Amino acid sequence: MTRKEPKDLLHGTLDVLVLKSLTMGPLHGYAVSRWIEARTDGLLTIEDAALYKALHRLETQGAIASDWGISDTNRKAKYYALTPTGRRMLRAEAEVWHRYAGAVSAALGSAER
Amino acid sequence: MSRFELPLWRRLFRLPTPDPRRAAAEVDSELEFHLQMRVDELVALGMTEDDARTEALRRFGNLGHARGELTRDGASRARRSRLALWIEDLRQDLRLSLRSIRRRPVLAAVATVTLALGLGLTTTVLAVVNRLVLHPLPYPGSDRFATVWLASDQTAMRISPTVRMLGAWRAHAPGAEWIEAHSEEQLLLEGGDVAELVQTRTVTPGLLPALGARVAVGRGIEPVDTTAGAPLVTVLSWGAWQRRFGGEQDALGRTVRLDGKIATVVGVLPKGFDLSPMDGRARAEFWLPLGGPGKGEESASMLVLRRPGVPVETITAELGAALTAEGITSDLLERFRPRASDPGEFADEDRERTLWLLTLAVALVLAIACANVAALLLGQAAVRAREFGVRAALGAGRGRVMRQLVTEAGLLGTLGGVAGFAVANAALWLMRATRPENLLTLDDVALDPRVTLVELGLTLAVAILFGLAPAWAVSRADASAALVGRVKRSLDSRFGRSLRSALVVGQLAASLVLVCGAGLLVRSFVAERNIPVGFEPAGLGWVKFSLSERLVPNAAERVAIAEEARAAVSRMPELGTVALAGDSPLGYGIIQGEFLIDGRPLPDRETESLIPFNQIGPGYFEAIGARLEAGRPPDPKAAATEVVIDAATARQFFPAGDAVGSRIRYGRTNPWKTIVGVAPRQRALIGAFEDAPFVFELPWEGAGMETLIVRATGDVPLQRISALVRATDPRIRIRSAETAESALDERLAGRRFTMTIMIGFAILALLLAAVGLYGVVALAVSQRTYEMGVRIALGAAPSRVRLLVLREGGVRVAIGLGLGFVLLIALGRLLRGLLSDVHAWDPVVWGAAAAALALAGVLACWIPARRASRTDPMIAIRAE
Repeated sequence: MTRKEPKDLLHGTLDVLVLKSLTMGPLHGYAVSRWIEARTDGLLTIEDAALYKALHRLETQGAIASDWGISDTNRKAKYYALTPTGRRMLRAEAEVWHRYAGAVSAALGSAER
Repeated sequence: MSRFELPLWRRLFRLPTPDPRRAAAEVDSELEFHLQMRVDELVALGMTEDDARTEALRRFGNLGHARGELTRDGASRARRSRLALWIEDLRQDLRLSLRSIRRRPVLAAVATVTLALGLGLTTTVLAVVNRLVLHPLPYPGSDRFATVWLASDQTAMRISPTVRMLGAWRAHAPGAEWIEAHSEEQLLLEGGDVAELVQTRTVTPGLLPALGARVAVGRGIEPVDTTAGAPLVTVLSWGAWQRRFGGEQDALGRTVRLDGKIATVVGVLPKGFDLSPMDGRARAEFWLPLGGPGKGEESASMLVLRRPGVPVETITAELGAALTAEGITSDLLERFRPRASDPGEFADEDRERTLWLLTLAVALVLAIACANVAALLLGQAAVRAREFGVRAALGAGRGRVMRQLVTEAGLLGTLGGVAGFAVANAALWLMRATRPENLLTLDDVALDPRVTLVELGLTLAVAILFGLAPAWAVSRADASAALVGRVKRSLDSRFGRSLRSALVVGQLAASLVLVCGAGLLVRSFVAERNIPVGFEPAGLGWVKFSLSERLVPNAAERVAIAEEARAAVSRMPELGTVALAGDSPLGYGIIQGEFLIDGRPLPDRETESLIPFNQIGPGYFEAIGARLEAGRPPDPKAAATEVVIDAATARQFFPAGDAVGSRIRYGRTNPWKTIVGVAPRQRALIGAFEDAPFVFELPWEGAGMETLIVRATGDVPLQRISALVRATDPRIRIRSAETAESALDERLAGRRFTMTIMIGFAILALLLAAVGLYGVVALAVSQRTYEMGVRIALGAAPSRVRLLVLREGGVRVAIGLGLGFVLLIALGRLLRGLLSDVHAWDPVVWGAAAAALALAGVLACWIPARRASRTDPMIAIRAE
């Protein structure tokens, strides 16, 4: 599995969010974008192009898998689902992210003091 | 490395495989869906449709760029995912196949053993053909080798050139990279109080390095060893070093006594090196220098390495011109001119034919084995109808089921191939252990990478072939019917049944061809062995020696020494008559002349012919155990004026029976000789000079007869006779010694070997065909249990039921026999070519083969027939 270096953080952030969004079950791309908007209280608005690139990148890496299905609105939509690899990746990435966020906030906190 | 994993739903439900060509369309519809959703959302928030679309596009970002990138990604993913799907399917197939094999271990074992035998034997024969026919000479550059003979324009005769010619050729043949010479000889090795004949080779100093032989220990034969006054040296073969010197380093410098001459051991050749692949002679233990002063008239075999691109014809021309340039002429060279030829030109055609025969045979065996396994799997497919029905119902397409069957066959094939490799190794070992003396090259046959590769390819091809048969049958059957219950009549379609029958009939036909082939070989072998040889082989032996003219220039003295040796040997108590002769009863010399009979009109033109002859001393016919058919032996006192001819000559030239008393001569000015007796037809000429007259001559003035013919009461003590001959005079050299029986055996050894192998193939084929027939009939019986039960319930006698089943097999055997004979007739031309002296239409052999096949057929059907006749009607009917 490729290890994420800190400079890849933005990618990493998006990837980890996409993976997280799929933990409850398969979703199509639009639903993923809505999930991220909702869960980040609209603070993180991600450009759709970047989102789809992330989805496809994760699919290529084998973290998620896709298939065509029918959406709630009765349209043909491409659904994404987590694979076991994706689950493992999410755990690892989330940990990296927590450590990173912890480190940054600790640093900011101490600078304030 | 990241691994592509399939989602669960893909593994559960077989969905269409991703297609890289559809990547662009997929991306488009995915993005289309996204934009549409976004537009819907914005419209719901109160935007107009147009504004919503603009806003959606804005929020998307660079659509064109993203589209391109996603399409590229998608296409590559589809490609990988396809592979992953394929691998996943394969894994599943393998798992199912393993399970199915474990469930039916007997079937798997039978299939594996059958395939192993078929593939293993094919590989063995391929290895032999590869080595003996395709790559006969294991020396560097051997495809540019040429041998040189002095060949006659008029006849097929050829004789060895002399060392003096070698010198001329080396100087004047620019087309040759090198020319070297060798000859072979049996010499008497003396040590302590034992003497034994050993195989030796004399070689020019350049030959061993030219053939790539690097001495393992010490040095090779060097030019200095052929100079005047050089001490005699010898190089040991690896085997002789191990056997006679215990592989010790101190062998170097030790001396051996060869034919009375002391030779110092100076080196050891590398393991396995020998010239036997070149001429099929026995492996040499001692290697001696050839050439040097005073050796110019010694004859030797010549070997030339042609320069790249130089044809043998050029070499021939150069060699002829070289003799002229050096002024080498002789009467002999008037008739015989040097000729270079491919070493293969004089290769044993018989052997080559034999090998193609074996290839054909083994191909048939392999075909039978494959048919057997195919029929076996086909039968299983019928029995497993329900399993396939279930899989079909769960969504496995026809293709998937077919694929699984092919995978199963492939797995069996792999098992068979691996086991076949072991079989091939065992067969090669067995072959080496039982090979005839004169097939030395068999020792070098090995499963080299090329042969192994062919075996692998063969295994694969075979596995796919017999895997396809059941798959095909299944694909034609109505799988869904299997679930409903009429199992036996659904998947086991008529098609499957007839395919199985066809396979069995084919097997029977092929095994008939093999059995007939083996039978014909046996017939020809027996016929060959029963040809009267013209002498009594039991207790007969001969020792060939030579008295060099150089050492004993006086002809009378040579005659006296030979007679002295004869007298010494004849005093051995266990020997009967001992006689001198020019050659053994299996050999002959050639007189070139015109065979003229007194009182017959002279031909208009002088016609030269070859007259085979042997010179015989007193007691010759007694020694060889031949009773003259007419007349008496020539009187030694009559000098060279009395001759004896053999029976064939008498019949051919004196059909009136007036041979005895007639006079013949060998040319218009030669003296007349009187025929005084007629000896039995001599075996020596059969197959060589069938139409030529054969004459027993008395030795002419001063001719040394250098073959001692001995008749013993028990075994012929060849070693002691040789030692005694040697002891007569130190100038005698022993050339060879053999018993008549071993000499005759050796002539037949190759054929016996072939025959044995063919018999083995035939038995194997018969066995496989019987197993195949058994399988088909047994399955048919098991499927007709209900019918049998009803018949028995209605009062059919067990014998009638048995007959019914036997008829089931009998019909197939009959068709198989018919087809086999058709095949034999079709193969007739080929067989005639391969079995040159065999009458391919031998009714005895054909009848016997048919009987053997019929018997095997009855045996194969007997067990199922008995089982059928013991069917319990109650159980049978209830079970349905």
